[in-house]
Amino acid sequence: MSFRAVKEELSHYFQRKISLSIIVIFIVFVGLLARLFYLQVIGYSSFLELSDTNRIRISKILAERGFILDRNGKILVKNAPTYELVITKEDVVDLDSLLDNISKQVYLDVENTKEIIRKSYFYQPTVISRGLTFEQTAYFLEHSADFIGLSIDLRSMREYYDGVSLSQLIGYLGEVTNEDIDIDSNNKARYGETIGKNGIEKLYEDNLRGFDGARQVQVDSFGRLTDILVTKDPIPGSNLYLTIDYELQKFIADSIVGKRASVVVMDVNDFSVLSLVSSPSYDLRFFSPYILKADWNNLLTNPDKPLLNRAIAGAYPPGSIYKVLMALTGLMEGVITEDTKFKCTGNYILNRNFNYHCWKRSGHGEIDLQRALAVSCDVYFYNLGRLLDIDIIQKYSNIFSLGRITGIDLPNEKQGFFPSREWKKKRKNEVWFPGETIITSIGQGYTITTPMQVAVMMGSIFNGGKVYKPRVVEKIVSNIDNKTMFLTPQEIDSIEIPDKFIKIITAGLLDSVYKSGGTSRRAAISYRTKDIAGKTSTAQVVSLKRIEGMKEDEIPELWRDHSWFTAVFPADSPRYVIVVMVENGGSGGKTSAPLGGQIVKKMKELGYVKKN
Amino acid sequence: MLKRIKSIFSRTDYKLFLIMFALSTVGVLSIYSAGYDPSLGEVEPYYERQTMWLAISVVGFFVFSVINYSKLVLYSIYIYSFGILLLIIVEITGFVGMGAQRWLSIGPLTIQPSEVFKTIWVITLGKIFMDFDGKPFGIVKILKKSFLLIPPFFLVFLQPDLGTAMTYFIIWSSVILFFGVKRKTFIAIFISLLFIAPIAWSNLRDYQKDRVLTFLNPENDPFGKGYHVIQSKIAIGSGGISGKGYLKGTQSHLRFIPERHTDFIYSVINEEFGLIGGLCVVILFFLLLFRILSISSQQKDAGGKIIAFAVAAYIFFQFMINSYMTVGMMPIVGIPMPFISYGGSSLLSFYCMLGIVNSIHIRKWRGID
Repeated sequence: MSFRAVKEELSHYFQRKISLSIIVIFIVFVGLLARLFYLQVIGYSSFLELSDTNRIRISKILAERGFILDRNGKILVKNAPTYELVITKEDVVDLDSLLDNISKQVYLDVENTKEIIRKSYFYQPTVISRGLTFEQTAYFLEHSADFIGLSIDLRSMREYYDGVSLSQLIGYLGEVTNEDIDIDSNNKARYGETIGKNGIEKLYEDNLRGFDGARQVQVDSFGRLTDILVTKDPIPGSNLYLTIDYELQKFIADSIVGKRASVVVMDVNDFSVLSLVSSPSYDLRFFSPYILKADWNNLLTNPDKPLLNRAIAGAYPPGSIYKVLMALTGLMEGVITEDTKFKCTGNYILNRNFNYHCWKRSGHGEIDLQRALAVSCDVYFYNLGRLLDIDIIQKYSNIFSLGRITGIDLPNEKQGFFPSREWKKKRKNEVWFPGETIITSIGQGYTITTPMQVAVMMGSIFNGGKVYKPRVVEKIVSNIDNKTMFLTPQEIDSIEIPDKFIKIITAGLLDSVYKSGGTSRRAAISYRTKDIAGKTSTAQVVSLKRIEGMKEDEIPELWRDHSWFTAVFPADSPRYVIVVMVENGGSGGKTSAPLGGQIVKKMKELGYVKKN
Repeated sequence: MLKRIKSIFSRTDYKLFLIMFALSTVGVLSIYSAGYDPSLGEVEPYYERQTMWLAISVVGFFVFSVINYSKLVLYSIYIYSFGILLLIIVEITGFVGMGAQRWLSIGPLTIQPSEVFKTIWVITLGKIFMDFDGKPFGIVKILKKSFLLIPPFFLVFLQPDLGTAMTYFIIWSSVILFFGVKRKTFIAIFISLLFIAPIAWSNLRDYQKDRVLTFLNPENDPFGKGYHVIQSKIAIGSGGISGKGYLKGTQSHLRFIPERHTDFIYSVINEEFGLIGGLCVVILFFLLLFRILSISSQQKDAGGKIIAFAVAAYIFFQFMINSYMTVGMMPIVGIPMPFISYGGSSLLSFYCMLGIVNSIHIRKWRGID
């Protein structure tokens, strides 16, 4: 490698090229200066005017929110027009007097409004009041000269066909808050807009919301629109078709009104939810166009928690309905057959020391699985539990969704709890005692489940062992091209359950409803067609000692047992599962079973099951 | 050694240094203004970081002045490999981090290897083209000279940073044009570009296509890039001849102009200092380029000549693309204005390039070292 001086003739060649480069540079720079001259000297006054009060602005056109319909196409939620007052802070001359004048016409929390306006983005209009009456709208339009910086916007708000029966399921809309702005990154929601805060409205926000459009406009020095330069149309949100049957939902909501209760009705084949009711409820119409502070505080402080969706977020000890899964586990593991009998004397003695009662103190005598399910014999399942032990019991429970979320397409689902040997070691640093297996076997002890989990447990047993995610949305239909997206069931787990096991369990549950001594007899709606296979449970809330000797109506309400009923029907080929749960409802047989029967009756009327 | 450094300082081209330093001072002041929020009275801390980087860059300038540039050319293959390695590392960490990544953290500093590579690239160009024999380039020779362009171009293109990748190509082509291309070859390349263009087009990312489309037809994106151009033009136009005054610009403080401390810094200068301010910047750049090209023309050694020319080309093209973009005469590509826009790696890279130019100036009479 040698560095050498450039030859003389080449040197001239380069000299020419460098001179040429300087000429090119000069021309390009003159071009730039000419452009600057054009913008800053010739165009000065017009650009200055455009820069003064930022005459060219972009304003958002909010997309129309998608509708929500039930499985039969009944419109449950649509939109209605509403007039809103908006302020663009840069256009306001005197904010204090403006707000003062406005508050003479409409209710306004002046301090709060000032804060919202202060936080607003440059030249972005901020909503300060929603739901103007016709008179108020007319007043502001008439006196617009007195309200510089204020304008009236026509937007839309939610309109509900039924504000009460589906409240927790659909969920309400609320003002966009700081957290919403962080989460909502791709589809920008701004302060002064509303967003789904709960239920379907929240989970399907992206589908329902659509894409906002925009308008490039020119305004005058008062911020008033003088010209629309370009418009980008908004893309409306998609419509959601639910798997919910509104008629059934409404019937159930009406029949549990006044109780703290929840009901799930689900198709066992695809886990589409036909009804998901939680009581007490609240009125969604309170939230449209916005909820008053007093109403909101009432909802929050109500001890019955109307905002809580009990079907997915209420967790309770399952009690005897858990025996259905115990029976299946015993059969699957081969530790019992349909002929296996245990003797129930009313007591089960463990290690000579510990005594576990059957609910029937006099005992059931020699008893097989079918009868044990029918009469809900505790001792039978104590014995079964001892044969299986906690590890196997826990394994099956986990497959059938107990102790983990079901994955339903709704927010804030609770996962309940199912104990295990490892958990006890880790959390309490104690070994697992055999006595704990015994109480776990009848759905008591540490176990808590949501009604939705019970529905998944039952559905997965009776569809032959397929565990899907339950869902409340059937399909999403675009409002642009009617393109439909079907939400198909998603399998989480599966286990092969032989038909004959399902037959045995069904026989037990049929007896529970239709045979003498059965615990679910009040669910029977007719003895001509025996097609409801059900199971009740009466889950203890406080220890028996505390209520010993009290008569049923003397027990304080919150100490009374939780009342459950679950059933599948038609029994010969199970298609639907029902779960009824009444908090502190007392005995399952008395409170929940009759409700279950009524629901089946209604479903037959609605044509879900062929009448024979 | 001490004596040598002393002689370096005494022979340094201070005109070059002062013009460059004046430009970066304008930069820091404008970055302060761009980060100033009049409604809160707060300033974003960009200007502090830029000042710190300016100090580092001045050191960089003198370090490269001390180093004999011909040593750089001699070891250019190692320097080049090191640069490629950095680009590969940033590509890998970007892949692991699931997304576009352009920065590498080294202690408290984050550097942008694609910017650092600009300095390496001008050194490499000196090496590639120093064997020039006076004959204009034909197609075979051009292809041979393009081997070293391909790796950095694609690595940066994949980041994806089309703008910076294009600068490697543009500087390489300017050096080729500087030497001259055979007429037949020139026509052949022109025709083949007509065929390649549609293929390249289909490989562009959506946002890159949008940029080109927005350039050709600003109404294509009236709520994004199109709006930014409109606001930038309003900012510049409303500055008039003498400007609105320092920190008194309205458009530039309203956040309508994104990246106003990087890509749109020239709008801020023109709004607040008007045509006079804009003109001063242009004059400084012209003086700077004139100075560098004089050094190139005085240099007898081919490597030094080419490097100085390539540095001038780099400054010129980045200035042209950036300023033409802010006045609405070119598409919006993320290319900063040299010495002025916010960005430590870019500042350091250009100071190092000028350090090399100074090194060439200092050693111009020796030619062979």
